[in-house]
Amino acid sequence: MLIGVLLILPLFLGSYELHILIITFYYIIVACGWNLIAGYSGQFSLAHHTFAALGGYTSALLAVNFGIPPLLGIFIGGLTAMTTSYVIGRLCLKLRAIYLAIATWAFSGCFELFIRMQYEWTRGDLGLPTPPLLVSASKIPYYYIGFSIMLVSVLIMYKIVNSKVGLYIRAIRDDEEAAMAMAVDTVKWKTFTFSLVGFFAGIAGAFRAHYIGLMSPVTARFDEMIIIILMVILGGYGTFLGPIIGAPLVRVLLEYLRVYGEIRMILFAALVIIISRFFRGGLVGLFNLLTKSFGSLRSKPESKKVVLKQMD
Amino acid sequence: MIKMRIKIREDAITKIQAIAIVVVIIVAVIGGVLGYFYLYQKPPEEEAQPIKIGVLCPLSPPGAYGVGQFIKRGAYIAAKYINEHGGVLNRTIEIVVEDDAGTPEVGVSAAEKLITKDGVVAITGQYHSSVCLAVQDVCEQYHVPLLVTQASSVKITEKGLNYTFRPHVMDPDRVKFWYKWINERGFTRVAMIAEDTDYGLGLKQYCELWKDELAPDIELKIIIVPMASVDVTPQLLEIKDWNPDLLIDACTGATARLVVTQAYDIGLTPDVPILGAHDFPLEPGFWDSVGEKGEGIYFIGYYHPEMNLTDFGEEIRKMYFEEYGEAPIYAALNTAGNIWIIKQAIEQAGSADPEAIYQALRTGTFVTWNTENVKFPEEEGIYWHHFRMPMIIFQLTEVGQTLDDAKIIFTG
Repeated sequence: MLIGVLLILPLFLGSYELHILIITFYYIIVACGWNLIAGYSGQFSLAHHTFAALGGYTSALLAVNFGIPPLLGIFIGGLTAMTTSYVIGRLCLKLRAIYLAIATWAFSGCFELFIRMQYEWTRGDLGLPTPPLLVSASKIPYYYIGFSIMLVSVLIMYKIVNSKVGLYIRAIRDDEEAAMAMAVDTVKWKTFTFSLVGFFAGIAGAFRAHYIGLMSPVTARFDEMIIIILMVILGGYGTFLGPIIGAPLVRVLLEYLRVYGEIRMILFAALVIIISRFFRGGLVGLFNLLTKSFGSLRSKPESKKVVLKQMD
Repeated sequence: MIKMRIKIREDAITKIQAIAIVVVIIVAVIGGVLGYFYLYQKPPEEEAQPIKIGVLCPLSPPGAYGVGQFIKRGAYIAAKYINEHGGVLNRTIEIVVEDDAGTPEVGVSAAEKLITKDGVVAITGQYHSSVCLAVQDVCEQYHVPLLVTQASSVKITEKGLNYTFRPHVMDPDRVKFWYKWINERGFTRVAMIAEDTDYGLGLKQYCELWKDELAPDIELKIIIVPMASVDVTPQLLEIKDWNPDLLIDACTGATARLVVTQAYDIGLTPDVPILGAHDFPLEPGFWDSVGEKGEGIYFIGYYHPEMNLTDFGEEIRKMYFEEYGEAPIYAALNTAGNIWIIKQAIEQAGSADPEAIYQALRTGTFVTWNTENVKFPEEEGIYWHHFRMPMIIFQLTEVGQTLDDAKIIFTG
């Protein structure tokens, strides 16, 4: 039903709202991807935004320098991001805990610097004008393309989560040694997941580049990673619906709170602290808690009380 | 002995969680009610509605939020002046400010909102070239004029977009100007340290492009440093080894000041003078940061208190000082000037319709803060819809000097 609503929504919205939704589709893809590697497989990578930027720059450079059509460029952007994430995965996924985060953070920092300093061909901070995906100036076709990419990505990730691969990666998250002892090829499945979400991030980043019409090193800044993490934690870290709820919420709030400048990041930080402290499952966890509690209030009121049972 | 087993439901809400839920619901209800009354107010009569002009500038990082504040001030002062003098077409001017955060995607969102939700008739305030390049496409799509305040990339006008107008200095203008001064002063070995932003890279590009034509007798060395560098000593040492007789500082913000202090620390200055590529020595906090290390610095500016400003410029300068207790800088003056140009375009068009404003801008002549002959010619190439602002080279010779004390060294 939700998909049906989203399909007819462009008929009722203005171009500003459509623009927000198109960008939100991008964030849903990257947030779900990061949730898959961090929330489900326990790999706390801080380079996910970099794969999106890499996909964007690959597609933009191919279009500008070689005249590659944007649609093909988007696919190549996804492949490039996937290949890079595979290499990074092979190098870094053996690291544990904070070391993986540091290594991926270093990679993302190097990438941003590289893009800025190689300005002869990336145009650095001047921005790289990117040919639009479509000739039409209307946002409606972009909306449906973004929606389709998002839907396919999310469905594939859903299938993975609910397959034996999903069991493997959850086992890796919960206890990697135990998973290895149970003959789970942990390196293979961690790398597979890392590469797959890298592909989706690259596709999403390339689509955004051809929609906005410009690639800039700002997309590779660490701020982008913070926003992705925010979306997942607020929505529900480690839950499938979490990033799907968190991404639109944070995106809309970012837009609405823009007038307050950097104070909005302080507000978000406070929100994350509250959510992490009191509602660890995020909004999804809160919803589950409310439905369980109110459900039990209706059915068995006496079960809410402390029960003293005499034991013989 | 009776043993008791206590069973408590594991999923019961704790007291604190319950309080948090109630607070969130109350805030949501209040927010919803306030939002309803805000969104669904009865629109005022057409004639009483103010004319909205959008100001899109960086007000948060990674944008240059310091400059953004001055841009905002300039817009508000200009609107205040216009409204105190009868408004335009019997209507007042209302400034609608949006933050582009120095990010193209945010700029595009903000421009969409200004045009489609706020109904602005024109937009000004752009500072970052990368953002401007994205925003101008939105303005072109909706046929809303964009007057660029301080974004200097040549690509902005080179694209030849109908609805983009720029009364500002471009990178090539700046380079031509300082090459004139360099030739006049007889410098022969010119080093430049530039940041890897649209500003620094643009200056580098034109310095190299025009050296042979405009300054064939000089040798040129350019080093690019990352924006927001915390140490440029290695680059300055490399420059020092090269023995320049002039150092151009094409950085912004804290990096620009760092170049000044570290050049002094390694003994490059004061023997080798520094030319600031823009007026950063006038920014608040400059002397606190550099102290005596900044004495003797040259810089390019566009405004001096002794300059003859237009009547509008004089009024704005006075009002700005009364309001904010300090002299206005170029960003504020140029934004005020752009608001004034838009106001004149509305008067000349006899209408606040964006299309009518655009037609007036392409054919009319306007007064801004420092000159009375602003036109936007439809020349092919980088000077499309571009008006070249005059420039001045100043020098500050003592700690604490302000614009009022600056010596005018070169006017071209």
